[in-house]
Amino acid sequence: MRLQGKVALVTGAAESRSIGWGIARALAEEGADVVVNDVALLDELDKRADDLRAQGRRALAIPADVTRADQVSTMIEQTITEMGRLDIVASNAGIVRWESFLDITPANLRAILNVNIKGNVNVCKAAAQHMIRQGQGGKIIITSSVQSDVNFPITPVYGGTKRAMHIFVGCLALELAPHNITVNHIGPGWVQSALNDPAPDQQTPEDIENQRRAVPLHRAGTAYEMGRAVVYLASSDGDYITGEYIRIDGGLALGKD
Amino acid sequence: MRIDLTGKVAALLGGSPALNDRLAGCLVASGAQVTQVIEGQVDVVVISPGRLTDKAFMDAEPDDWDSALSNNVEQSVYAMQTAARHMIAQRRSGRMIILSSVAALKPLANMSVVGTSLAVLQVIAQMAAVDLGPYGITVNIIAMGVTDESWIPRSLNVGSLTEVQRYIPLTRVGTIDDVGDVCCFLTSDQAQYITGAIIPVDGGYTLTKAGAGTPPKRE
Repeated sequence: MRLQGKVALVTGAAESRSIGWGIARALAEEGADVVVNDVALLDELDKRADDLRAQGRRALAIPADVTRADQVSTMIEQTITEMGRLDIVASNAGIVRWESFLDITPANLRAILNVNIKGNVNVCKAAAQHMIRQGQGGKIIITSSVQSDVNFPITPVYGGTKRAMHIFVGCLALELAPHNITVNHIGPGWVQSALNDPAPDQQTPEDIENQRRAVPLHRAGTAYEMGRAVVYLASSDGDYITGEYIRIDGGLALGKD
Repeated sequence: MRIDLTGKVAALLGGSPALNDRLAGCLVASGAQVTQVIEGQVDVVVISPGRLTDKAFMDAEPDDWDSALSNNVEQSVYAMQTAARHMIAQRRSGRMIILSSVAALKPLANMSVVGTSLAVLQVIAQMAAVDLGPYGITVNIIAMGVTDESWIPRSLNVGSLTEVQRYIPLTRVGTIDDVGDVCCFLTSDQAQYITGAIIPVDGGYTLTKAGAGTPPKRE
Protein backbone atom coordinates (compact mmCIF):
# COMPACT_ATOMS: atom_id res chain seq x y z
CA MET A 1 0.00 0.00 0.00
CA ARG A 2 2.41 2.60 -1.24
CA LEU A 3 -0.03 5.50 -1.45
CA GLN A 4 -1.63 5.39 1.98
CA GLY A 5 -2.77 8.83 3.08
CA LYS A 6 -2.46 10.34 -0.38
CA VAL A 7 -5.26 12.01 -2.31
CA ALA A 8 -5.36 11.67 -6.08
CA LEU A 9 -7.45 13.28 -8.81
CA VAL A 10 -8.00 11.46 -12.11
CA THR A 11 -9.67 13.18 -15.07
CA GLY A 12 -11.52 11.28 -17.79
CA ALA A 13 -12.43 8.38 -15.48
CA ALA A 14 -16.17 7.77 -15.93
CA GLU A 15 -16.24 5.00 -18.51
CA SER A 16 -15.61 1.52 -17.09
CA ARG A 17 -13.18 0.56 -19.86
CA SER A 18 -11.31 3.88 -19.73
CA ILE A 19 -7.65 4.31 -18.96
CA GLY A 20 -8.77 6.92 -16.42
CA TRP A 21 -10.67 4.27 -14.49
CA GLY A 22 -7.72 1.87 -14.76
CA ILE A 23 -5.56 4.59 -13.21
CA ALA A 24 -8.08 5.39 -10.48
CA ARG A 25 -8.41 1.70 -9.53
CA ALA A 26 -4.67 1.16 -9.43
CA LEU A 27 -4.12 4.21 -7.23
CA ALA A 28 -6.93 3.16 -4.87
CA GLU A 29 -5.52 -0.35 -4.60
CA GLU A 30 -2.32 1.17 -3.22
CA GLY A 31 -4.27 3.09 -0.59
CA ALA A 32 -4.94 6.46 -2.20
CA ASP A 33 -8.23 8.27 -1.78
CA VAL A 34 -9.39 9.21 -5.25
CA VAL A 35 -11.44 11.94 -6.88
CA VAL A 36 -12.74 10.87 -10.28
CA ASN A 37 -13.75 13.42 -12.90
CA ASP A 38 -15.32 13.48 -16.33
CA VAL A 39 -17.32 15.82 -18.52
CA ALA A 40 -20.02 13.30 -19.49
CA LEU A 41 -21.45 9.90 -18.42
CA LEU A 42 -22.06 11.36 -14.99
CA ASP A 43 -24.16 8.41 -13.74
CA GLU A 44 -21.20 6.20 -14.61
CA LEU A 45 -18.88 8.61 -12.81
CA ASP A 46 -20.94 8.24 -9.64
CA LYS A 47 -20.73 4.45 -9.96
CA ARG A 48 -16.94 4.67 -10.19
CA ALA A 49 -16.86 6.64 -6.94
CA ASP A 50 -19.11 4.00 -5.34
CA ASP A 51 -16.73 1.27 -6.55
CA LEU A 52 -13.83 3.07 -4.87
CA ARG A 53 -15.72 3.44 -1.60
CA ALA A 54 -16.54 -0.28 -1.74
CA GLN A 55 -12.74 -0.80 -1.67
CA GLY A 56 -12.62 1.15 1.57
CA ARG A 57 -11.30 4.43 0.18
CA ARG A 58 -12.68 7.91 0.43
CA ALA A 59 -13.88 8.90 -3.03
CA LEU A 60 -15.61 11.74 -4.81
CA ALA A 61 -17.10 12.16 -8.27
CA ILE A 62 -16.69 15.72 -9.61
CA PRO A 63 -18.04 16.55 -13.06
CA ALA A 64 -16.08 19.26 -14.87
CA ASP A 65 -15.05 20.19 -18.39
CA VAL A 66 -11.24 20.34 -18.39
CA THR A 67 -11.30 22.85 -21.27
CA ARG A 68 -12.89 25.35 -18.85
CA ALA A 69 -10.34 26.85 -16.45
CA ASP A 70 -13.11 28.03 -14.12
CA GLN A 71 -14.60 24.54 -13.80
CA VAL A 72 -11.17 23.04 -13.21
CA SER A 73 -10.49 25.58 -10.44
CA THR A 74 -13.78 24.74 -8.78
CA MET A 75 -12.97 21.03 -9.04
CA ILE A 76 -9.62 21.49 -7.28
CA GLU A 77 -11.21 23.67 -4.59
CA GLN A 78 -13.91 21.09 -3.97
CA THR A 79 -11.26 18.36 -3.75
CA ILE A 80 -9.38 20.29 -1.07
CA THR A 81 -12.56 21.13 0.85
CA GLU A 82 -13.81 17.57 0.95
CA MET A 83 -10.58 15.56 0.94
CA GLY A 84 -8.27 17.95 2.77
CA ARG A 85 -5.31 17.70 0.40
CA LEU A 86 -4.15 16.86 -3.14
CA ASP A 87 -0.96 14.91 -3.81
CA ILE A 88 -1.34 13.20 -7.16
CA VAL A 89 -2.99 14.40 -10.37
CA ALA A 90 -3.48 12.06 -13.30
CA SER A 91 -4.38 14.47 -16.13
CA ASN A 92 -5.81 11.79 -18.35
CA ALA A 93 -8.78 13.25 -20.24
CA GLY A 94 -8.24 13.31 -23.99
CA ILE A 95 -10.05 12.92 -27.29
CA VAL A 96 -9.16 11.59 -30.73
CA ARG A 97 -10.49 12.18 -34.25
CA TRP A 98 -9.49 10.29 -37.36
CA GLU A 99 -8.91 12.88 -40.11
CA SER A 100 -5.86 12.86 -42.32
CA PHE A 101 -4.11 16.15 -43.12
CA LEU A 102 -6.18 17.38 -46.07
CA ASP A 103 -9.40 16.35 -44.31
CA ILE A 104 -8.71 18.14 -41.00
CA THR A 105 -11.83 20.15 -40.20
CA PRO A 106 -11.73 23.35 -38.13
CA ALA A 107 -14.20 21.99 -35.58
CA ASN A 108 -12.22 18.83 -34.87
CA LEU A 109 -8.89 20.68 -34.91
CA ARG A 110 -10.23 23.10 -32.31
CA ALA A 111 -11.81 20.33 -30.22
CA ILE A 112 -8.62 18.25 -30.04
CA LEU A 113 -6.44 21.26 -29.19
CA ASN A 114 -8.92 22.31 -26.51
CA VAL A 115 -9.07 19.00 -24.69
CA ASN A 116 -5.61 17.59 -25.31
CA ILE A 117 -3.60 20.79 -24.85
CA LYS A 118 -5.72 23.33 -22.98
CA GLY A 119 -7.30 20.64 -20.83
CA ASN A 120 -3.85 19.61 -19.64
CA VAL A 121 -2.86 23.26 -19.19
CA ASN A 122 -5.88 23.99 -17.00
CA VAL A 123 -5.57 20.87 -14.85
CA CYS A 124 -1.79 21.11 -14.39
CA LYS A 125 -1.86 24.81 -13.57
CA ALA A 126 -4.69 24.54 -11.03
CA ALA A 127 -3.11 21.45 -9.46
CA ALA A 128 0.33 23.06 -9.27
CA GLN A 129 -1.10 26.23 -7.71
CA HIS A 130 -2.57 24.14 -4.94
CA MET A 131 0.51 21.92 -4.52
CA ILE A 132 2.74 24.99 -4.25
CA ARG A 133 0.49 26.41 -1.49
CA GLN A 134 0.35 23.00 0.23
CA GLY A 135 4.15 23.03 0.25
CA GLN A 136 4.71 19.26 0.22
CA GLY A 137 5.59 18.69 -3.41
CA GLY A 138 3.35 16.68 -5.68
CA LYS A 139 3.06 14.31 -8.58
CA ILE A 140 1.54 15.19 -11.93
CA ILE A 141 1.19 12.43 -14.52
CA ILE A 142 -0.28 13.14 -17.94
CA THR A 143 -1.68 10.44 -20.18
CA SER A 144 -0.17 10.98 -23.59
CA SER A 145 0.10 8.04 -26.01
CA VAL A 146 2.41 5.82 -28.04
CA GLN A 147 1.75 8.58 -30.56
CA SER A 148 4.08 10.84 -28.63
CA ASP A 149 6.84 8.80 -30.30
CA VAL A 150 5.28 7.31 -33.42
CA ASN A 151 2.86 9.14 -35.65
CA PHE A 152 0.20 7.95 -38.10
CA PRO A 153 -1.17 9.90 -41.06
CA ILE A 154 -4.78 9.23 -40.05
CA THR A 155 -4.38 11.05 -36.71
CA PRO A 156 -2.10 14.02 -37.39
CA VAL A 157 -3.68 16.41 -34.89
CA TYR A 158 -4.12 13.87 -32.08
CA GLY A 159 -0.55 12.68 -32.67
CA GLY A 160 0.70 16.26 -32.63
CA THR A 161 -0.93 16.94 -29.28
CA LYS A 162 0.68 13.77 -27.88
CA ARG A 163 4.19 14.38 -29.20
CA ALA A 164 3.94 17.93 -27.88
CA MET A 165 3.66 16.41 -24.40
CA HIS A 166 7.45 15.78 -24.40
CA ILE A 167 7.89 19.57 -24.60
CA PHE A 168 4.95 20.41 -22.31
CA VAL A 169 5.97 17.90 -19.64
CA GLY A 170 9.65 18.84 -19.92
CA CYS A 171 8.94 22.55 -19.49
CA LEU A 172 6.65 21.94 -16.52
CA ALA A 173 9.19 19.60 -14.98
CA LEU A 174 11.88 22.30 -15.23
CA GLU A 175 9.65 25.06 -13.92
CA LEU A 176 7.94 23.15 -11.07
CA ALA A 177 11.04 21.31 -9.82
CA PRO A 178 11.85 24.07 -7.30
CA HIS A 179 8.55 23.15 -5.60
CA ASN A 180 9.37 19.42 -5.60
CA ILE A 181 6.54 18.75 -8.03
CA THR A 182 7.41 16.07 -10.57
CA VAL A 183 5.75 15.99 -13.99
CA ASN A 184 5.83 12.93 -16.25
CA HIS A 185 3.73 11.30 -18.93
CA ILE A 186 2.73 7.75 -19.85
CA GLY A 187 2.21 6.49 -23.39
CA PRO A 188 -0.47 3.82 -23.72
CA GLY A 189 -0.43 1.84 -26.94
CA TRP A 190 -3.43 -0.15 -28.10
CA VAL A 191 -5.99 -0.31 -25.31
CA GLN A 192 -9.56 -1.38 -26.04
CA SER A 193 -11.13 1.59 -24.30
CA ALA A 194 -14.30 3.33 -25.45
CA LEU A 195 -12.11 6.10 -26.93
CA ASN A 196 -11.02 3.62 -29.58
CA ASP A 197 -14.47 2.20 -30.39
CA PRO A 198 -14.88 4.44 -33.49
CA ALA A 199 -11.32 3.75 -34.74
CA PRO A 200 -11.56 2.98 -38.47
CA ASP A 201 -8.95 0.22 -38.14
CA GLN A 202 -10.60 -1.57 -35.19
CA GLN A 203 -14.06 -2.41 -36.51
CA THR A 204 -14.01 -6.08 -37.60
CA PRO A 205 -12.56 -9.27 -36.08
CA GLU A 206 -10.01 -9.13 -38.88
CA ASP A 207 -9.08 -5.57 -37.89
CA ILE A 208 -8.58 -6.70 -34.29
CA GLU A 209 -6.39 -9.57 -35.43
CA ASN A 210 -4.30 -7.10 -37.47
CA GLN A 211 -3.96 -4.87 -34.41
CA ARG A 212 -2.83 -7.86 -32.41
CA ARG A 213 -0.20 -8.76 -35.00
CA ALA A 214 1.12 -5.21 -35.05
CA VAL A 215 2.01 -5.46 -31.36
CA PRO A 216 5.14 -7.50 -30.61
CA LEU A 217 3.52 -8.79 -27.40
CA HIS A 218 0.43 -9.73 -29.48
CA ARG A 219 -2.30 -8.26 -27.31
CA ALA A 220 -3.94 -5.03 -26.27
CA GLY A 221 -2.76 -3.40 -23.07
CA THR A 222 -5.19 -3.13 -20.17
CA ALA A 223 -6.26 0.10 -18.52
CA TYR A 224 -5.04 -1.35 -15.23
CA GLU A 225 -1.53 -1.80 -16.68
CA MET A 226 -1.54 1.92 -17.47
CA GLY A 227 -2.58 2.55 -13.89
CA ARG A 228 0.34 0.52 -12.53
CA ALA A 229 2.79 2.82 -14.33
CA VAL A 230 1.05 5.83 -12.80
CA VAL A 231 1.37 4.16 -9.37
CA TYR A 232 5.12 3.78 -9.93
CA LEU A 233 5.54 7.44 -10.76
CA ALA A 234 3.15 8.58 -8.01
CA SER A 235 4.77 6.52 -5.27
CA SER A 236 8.08 7.24 -3.58
CA ASP A 237 9.67 4.91 -6.17
CA GLY A 238 9.18 7.76 -8.64
CA ASP A 239 10.46 10.60 -6.48
CA TYR A 240 13.61 11.15 -8.58
CA ILE A 241 11.86 10.92 -11.96
CA THR A 242 10.71 14.08 -13.68
CA GLY A 243 10.21 15.23 -17.25
CA GLU A 244 10.13 11.57 -18.26
CA TYR A 245 7.93 9.38 -20.43
CA ILE A 246 7.03 5.72 -19.97
CA ARG A 247 5.76 3.99 -23.09
CA ILE A 248 3.39 1.12 -22.23
CA ASP A 249 2.54 -0.38 -25.57
CA GLY A 250 3.67 -4.00 -25.76
CA GLY A 251 6.38 -2.89 -28.18
CA LEU A 252 3.99 -1.31 -30.71
CA ALA A 253 6.29 1.68 -31.29
CA LEU A 254 9.14 -0.63 -32.24
CA GLY A 255 7.25 -2.77 -34.71
CA LYS A 256 4.78 -0.51 -36.52
CA ASP A 257 5.68 0.59 -40.02
CA MET B 1 26.96 24.46 -56.20
CA ARG B 2 25.01 27.68 -56.72
CA ILE B 3 21.38 27.68 -55.70
CA ASP B 4 19.38 28.79 -58.72
CA LEU B 5 15.71 29.47 -58.14
CA THR B 6 15.11 31.25 -61.45
CA GLY B 7 11.53 30.72 -62.58
CA LYS B 8 10.30 29.72 -59.12
CA VAL B 9 7.63 31.58 -57.20
CA ALA B 10 7.66 31.62 -53.40
CA ALA B 11 4.65 32.57 -51.28
CA LEU B 12 5.45 33.82 -47.76
CA LEU B 13 2.56 33.38 -45.33
CA GLY B 14 2.34 34.64 -41.77
CA GLY B 15 5.39 36.10 -40.10
CA SER B 16 6.25 39.69 -39.31
CA PRO B 17 7.00 42.18 -42.09
CA ALA B 18 10.63 42.32 -40.92
CA LEU B 19 10.98 38.54 -41.13
CA ASN B 20 9.31 38.36 -44.52
CA ASP B 21 11.43 41.17 -45.93
CA ARG B 22 14.63 39.34 -44.98
CA LEU B 23 13.39 35.97 -46.26
CA ALA B 24 12.22 37.57 -49.50
CA GLY B 25 15.66 39.12 -49.90
CA CYS B 26 17.34 35.70 -49.73
CA LEU B 27 14.90 34.11 -52.15
CA VAL B 28 15.07 36.96 -54.67
CA ALA B 29 18.87 36.94 -54.53
CA SER B 30 18.69 33.30 -55.67
CA GLY B 31 16.43 34.19 -58.58
CA ALA B 32 12.96 33.50 -57.20
CA GLN B 33 9.94 35.77 -57.33
CA VAL B 34 8.15 36.36 -54.05
CA THR B 35 4.43 36.82 -53.35
CA GLN B 36 2.14 36.75 -50.33
CA VAL B 37 -0.86 35.08 -51.90
CA ILE B 38 -1.59 31.55 -53.08
CA GLU B 39 -2.58 32.30 -56.64
CA GLY B 40 -1.25 31.29 -60.01
CA GLN B 41 2.14 29.62 -60.13
CA VAL B 42 3.37 28.80 -56.61
CA ASP B 43 6.37 26.51 -56.22
CA VAL B 44 7.18 27.00 -52.56
CA VAL B 45 5.20 28.19 -49.58
CA VAL B 46 6.98 29.36 -46.44
CA ILE B 47 4.75 29.41 -43.39
CA SER B 48 5.88 31.46 -40.42
CA PRO B 49 3.78 31.10 -37.31
CA GLY B 50 3.66 33.90 -34.78
CA ARG B 51 6.24 35.68 -32.76
CA LEU B 52 8.32 33.82 -30.21
CA THR B 53 7.64 35.01 -26.69
CA ASP B 54 8.56 33.36 -23.47
CA LYS B 55 6.42 33.15 -20.38
CA ALA B 56 6.56 30.99 -17.29
CA PHE B 57 3.90 28.27 -17.38
CA MET B 58 2.42 29.46 -14.09
CA ASP B 59 2.17 33.02 -15.45
CA ALA B 60 0.65 32.14 -18.83
CA GLU B 61 -3.03 33.05 -19.09
CA PRO B 62 -5.71 31.30 -21.17
CA ASP B 63 -5.38 34.09 -23.77
CA ASP B 64 -1.68 33.27 -24.22
CA TRP B 65 -2.51 29.64 -24.96
CA ASP B 66 -5.51 30.53 -27.14
CA SER B 67 -3.46 32.90 -29.24
CA ALA B 68 -0.53 30.49 -29.60
CA LEU B 69 -2.77 27.56 -30.56
CA SER B 70 -4.75 29.74 -32.96
CA ASN B 71 -1.77 31.39 -34.69
CA ASN B 72 0.80 28.64 -34.52
CA VAL B 73 -1.44 25.65 -35.13
CA GLU B 74 -4.85 26.50 -36.57
CA GLN B 75 -3.87 29.29 -38.95
CA SER B 76 -0.78 27.39 -40.06
CA VAL B 77 -2.81 24.24 -40.76
CA TYR B 78 -5.31 26.19 -42.86
CA ALA B 79 -2.48 27.84 -44.79
CA MET B 80 -0.83 24.47 -45.39
CA GLN B 81 -4.11 22.92 -46.57
CA THR B 82 -4.77 25.82 -48.95
CA ALA B 83 -1.26 25.62 -50.32
CA ALA B 84 -1.43 21.84 -50.72
CA ARG B 85 -4.77 21.92 -52.54
CA HIS B 86 -3.44 24.65 -54.84
CA MET B 87 -0.26 22.74 -55.65
CA ILE B 88 -2.20 19.53 -56.25
CA ALA B 89 -4.61 21.37 -58.57
CA GLN B 90 -1.67 22.96 -60.41
CA ARG B 91 -0.23 19.50 -60.96
CA ARG B 92 3.24 20.83 -60.13
CA SER B 93 5.53 19.41 -57.54
CA GLY B 94 6.01 21.89 -54.74
CA ARG B 95 7.67 22.68 -51.48
CA MET B 96 6.35 23.68 -48.09
CA ILE B 97 8.66 25.06 -45.44
CA ILE B 98 7.45 25.61 -41.89
CA LEU B 99 9.43 27.93 -39.64
CA SER B 100 9.43 26.43 -36.16
CA SER B 101 11.70 26.91 -33.14
CA VAL B 102 14.24 24.99 -31.09
CA ALA B 103 11.70 25.44 -28.29
CA ALA B 104 9.67 22.72 -30.03
CA LEU B 105 12.65 20.35 -30.13
CA LYS B 106 13.76 20.47 -26.50
CA PRO B 107 11.97 21.61 -23.38
CA LEU B 108 13.25 25.09 -22.57
CA ALA B 109 12.16 26.75 -19.35
CA ASN B 110 9.56 29.49 -19.90
CA MET B 111 8.89 28.29 -23.47
CA SER B 112 6.01 25.89 -22.82
CA VAL B 113 3.44 27.93 -24.77
CA VAL B 114 5.45 28.42 -27.96
CA GLY B 115 7.24 25.08 -27.69
CA THR B 116 4.09 23.02 -27.16
CA SER B 117 2.11 24.73 -29.92
CA LEU B 118 4.91 24.44 -32.49
CA ALA B 119 5.54 20.81 -31.50
CA VAL B 120 1.91 20.07 -32.43
CA LEU B 121 2.37 21.84 -35.77
CA GLN B 122 5.56 19.90 -36.53
CA VAL B 123 3.79 16.56 -36.37
CA ILE B 124 0.93 17.78 -38.55
CA ALA B 125 3.52 19.00 -41.07
CA GLN B 126 5.29 15.62 -41.02
CA MET B 127 2.04 13.76 -41.57
CA ALA B 128 1.27 16.19 -44.41
CA ALA B 129 4.66 15.18 -45.85
CA VAL B 130 3.51 11.53 -45.82
CA ASP B 131 0.24 12.28 -47.57
CA LEU B 132 1.60 14.81 -50.08
CA GLY B 133 4.68 12.85 -51.12
CA PRO B 134 2.86 11.05 -53.94
CA TYR B 135 2.03 14.47 -55.43
CA GLY B 136 5.70 15.42 -55.47
CA ILE B 137 5.21 17.93 -52.66
CA THR B 138 7.81 18.02 -49.89
CA VAL B 139 7.13 19.47 -46.44
CA ASN B 140 10.06 20.39 -44.23
CA ILE B 141 10.54 22.24 -40.99
CA ILE B 142 13.26 24.66 -39.96
CA ALA B 143 13.72 24.93 -36.19
CA MET B 144 15.16 28.38 -35.67
CA GLY B 145 17.49 28.99 -32.78
CA VAL B 146 18.29 32.32 -31.24
CA THR B 147 18.33 34.88 -34.03
CA ASP B 148 18.76 38.59 -34.18
CA GLU B 149 14.99 38.88 -34.28
CA SER B 150 14.71 39.48 -30.56
CA TRP B 151 14.27 36.23 -28.66
CA ILE B 152 16.62 35.85 -25.71
CA PRO B 153 15.68 32.67 -23.83
CA ARG B 154 14.88 33.73 -20.27
CA SER B 155 16.00 30.35 -19.01
CA LEU B 156 19.59 31.34 -19.68
CA ASN B 157 19.38 34.23 -17.25
CA VAL B 158 21.38 36.51 -19.49
CA GLY B 159 20.58 40.05 -20.49
CA SER B 160 21.92 40.35 -24.00
CA LEU B 161 22.41 38.54 -27.27
CA THR B 162 26.16 38.86 -26.68
CA GLU B 163 25.92 36.79 -23.52
CA VAL B 164 23.70 34.21 -25.26
CA GLN B 165 26.56 33.53 -27.64
CA ARG B 166 28.41 31.67 -24.88
CA TYR B 167 25.75 28.96 -25.13
CA ILE B 168 26.08 28.47 -28.86
CA PRO B 169 28.82 26.19 -30.25
CA LEU B 170 29.16 28.34 -33.37
CA THR B 171 29.69 31.32 -31.01
CA ARG B 172 27.19 33.70 -32.57
CA VAL B 173 23.45 34.15 -32.63
CA GLY B 174 21.73 33.33 -35.89
CA THR B 175 20.32 35.73 -38.45
CA ILE B 176 17.26 35.51 -40.65
CA ASP B 177 19.71 35.28 -43.56
CA ASP B 178 20.92 31.96 -42.06
CA VAL B 179 17.31 30.78 -42.16
CA GLY B 180 16.70 32.25 -45.61
CA ASP B 181 19.71 30.38 -47.01
CA VAL B 182 18.25 27.08 -45.80
CA CYS B 183 14.87 28.04 -47.27
CA CYS B 184 16.61 28.59 -50.62
CA PHE B 185 18.29 25.21 -50.37
CA LEU B 186 15.00 23.47 -49.51
CA THR B 187 13.40 25.20 -52.49
CA SER B 188 16.11 24.07 -54.87
CA ASP B 189 16.17 20.96 -57.02
CA GLN B 190 19.04 19.70 -54.85
CA ALA B 191 16.61 19.20 -51.93
CA GLN B 192 14.01 17.19 -53.82
CA TYR B 193 14.55 13.98 -51.80
CA ILE B 194 14.21 15.62 -48.39
CA THR B 195 10.77 15.55 -46.81
CA GLY B 196 9.37 15.52 -43.26
CA ALA B 197 12.75 16.69 -41.97
CA ILE B 198 13.22 18.97 -39.01
CA ILE B 199 16.40 20.98 -39.58
CA PRO B 200 17.72 22.98 -36.63
CA VAL B 201 19.30 26.22 -37.85
CA ASP B 202 20.65 27.13 -34.44
CA GLY B 203 24.45 27.11 -34.44
CA GLY B 204 24.36 23.95 -32.33
CA TYR B 205 22.25 25.45 -29.52
CA THR B 206 20.16 22.27 -29.12
CA LEU B 207 23.30 20.16 -28.71
CA THR B 208 24.00 21.69 -25.34
CA LYS B 209 22.11 21.75 -22.07
CA ALA B 210 21.42 25.40 -22.72
CA GLY B 211 17.86 25.02 -21.52
CA ALA B 212 19.21 24.31 -18.05
CA GLY B 213 21.46 27.35 -18.16
CA THR B 214 24.78 25.56 -18.54
CA PRO B 215 27.11 26.94 -21.22
CA PRO B 216 29.30 24.45 -23.12
CA LYS B 217 32.87 24.19 -21.87
CA ARG B 218 35.42 25.76 -24.18
CA GLU B 219 39.20 25.34 -23.92
